[in-house]
Amino acid sequence: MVEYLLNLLIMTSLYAILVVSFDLVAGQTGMLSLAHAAFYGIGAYGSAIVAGHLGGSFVTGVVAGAGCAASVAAALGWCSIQLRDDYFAIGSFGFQVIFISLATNLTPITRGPFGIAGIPSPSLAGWVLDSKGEMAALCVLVAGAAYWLVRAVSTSPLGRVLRALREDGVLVEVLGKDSRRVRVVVIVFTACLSSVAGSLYAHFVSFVDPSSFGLTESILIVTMLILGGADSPLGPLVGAFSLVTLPEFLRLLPIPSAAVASLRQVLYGVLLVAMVAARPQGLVGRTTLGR
Amino acid sequence: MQWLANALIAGSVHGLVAIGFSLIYTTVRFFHFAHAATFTVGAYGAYIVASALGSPISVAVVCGVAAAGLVGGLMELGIYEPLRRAGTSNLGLLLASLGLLIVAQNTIALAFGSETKVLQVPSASRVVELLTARLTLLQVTIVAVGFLLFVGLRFFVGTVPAGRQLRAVADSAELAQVVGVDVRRVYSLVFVIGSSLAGLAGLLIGLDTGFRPEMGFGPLLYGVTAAVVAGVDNVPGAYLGGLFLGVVQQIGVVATSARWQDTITFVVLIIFLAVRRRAVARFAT
Repeated sequence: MVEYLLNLLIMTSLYAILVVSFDLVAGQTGMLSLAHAAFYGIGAYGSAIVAGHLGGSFVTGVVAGAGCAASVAAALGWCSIQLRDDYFAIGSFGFQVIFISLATNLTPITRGPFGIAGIPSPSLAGWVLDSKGEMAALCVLVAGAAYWLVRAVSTSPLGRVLRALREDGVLVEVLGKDSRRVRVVVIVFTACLSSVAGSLYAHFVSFVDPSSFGLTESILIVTMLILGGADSPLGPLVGAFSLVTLPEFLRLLPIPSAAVASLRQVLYGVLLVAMVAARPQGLVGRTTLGR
Repeated sequence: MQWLANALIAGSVHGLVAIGFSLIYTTVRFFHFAHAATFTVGAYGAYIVASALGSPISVAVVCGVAAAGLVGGLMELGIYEPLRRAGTSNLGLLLASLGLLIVAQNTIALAFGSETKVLQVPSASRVVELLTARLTLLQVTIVAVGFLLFVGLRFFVGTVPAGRQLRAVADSAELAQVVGVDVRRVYSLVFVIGSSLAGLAGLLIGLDTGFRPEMGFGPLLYGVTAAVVAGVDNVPGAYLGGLFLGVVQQIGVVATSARWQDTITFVVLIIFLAVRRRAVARFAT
């Protein structure tokens, strides 16, 4: 029972990182990216390859994943920041799909659909975190740090620029801010946060394969943000917590577990449509995602 | 010669998905991602009719297309129109379409399971030889159907009254309504036609390479890329965009290897997104 609750705590922490960073790029800056799970995947594969396959340290794996995510995000960011909201969504959708395609097809590096297994427990300066409780503590700490970082950005002058960009990009340029650079910085920063979450995930589950980081996962992150509410301190946390814990009640139903997974997704989809219809600002949000 | 045939086959499918997608986008002005869902509905519709009910393939095709068109129409009438009436923005409708995609895809997974299903159709697998290229009868059908639809659509949009109404609504829904066009009917019609095309593409792909619940994602990317290449407002041209993409993919795959196909597609998408004026943001209001 304790083990199960710790699992939930870890997954809530990881999704907290993902949704908080997604709020920064989508809720506050107004760039609806459908590729958030792809950066999550980059971090996971980075750690899996460096810390698992190649035997590097935990920290090296995290840095490798984040570095890769940052480079890719920077390149994509430069190409796509001029795009209008819906076209930006299309571009990010494209990247999300090809990330899965690359993960599945670059078999020499990623072992394709079979995935990479046997990722060891994380270790910090010689101390191996091989118990569930230690892993949970690490994830909660990292989630806390990520949350603090994003809050720091939100409440800073940069945060005001981001929200101004969401409202009226032309005006921001008129006021003398380099909106292109700011947008790229936000995309890179949030990609790095997702990647760190991915690295933790890889060490937690000790196995990565393409199926966990696809479009469905990106849409789940969007759903979490819409449920909790965009551009608010608590919204992302509410969303992440709710959609990690509440669907667990589905396990009580007398149906096979493969069906539970699909049913879960159906409920997520229904919830997404329902939130857009009835309460697009979410439970505690300050703005509507997709205005 | 074989590579050209391959390019035409793949390009025709991209074209079918692209035409449907463009048709919907030019009219309702938001990206209907659930196009991937109607693609999959068409595929599984044909599958269930052919395998469970044992019907001949022609009946299965009609059922698949009809199922896709029906689901598309229901999405518009049941979800998009009420949301639109409630004042949801186009980005909100895009988010709703993501939700519909997830629901549809996973409902199919619940009903049929997640494993890849295969449908054997002996008559469609017969190989013919045309100018040194070897194609199955199914693949010839794909190319022929794509071309016929392209020609038919150019005619339809240009001349037939319903087609003119469509262009009117695409230009300005408000003005069209003022002039007496039943805009909601046009929207529904557009979703039914566009989704039927997606369903047709879906079942053709399913017959060729199998049926999986997530089978729509890749083809949606290809179709959207083809539409962007042609200019998302150019509905018949989307077919040509599909052929172009088919050719680029074949060249790319032959030059590098099959594993880079999606990456090449994405590069094409990004290039054309950057180049197409209309996509460029004046990031605004």
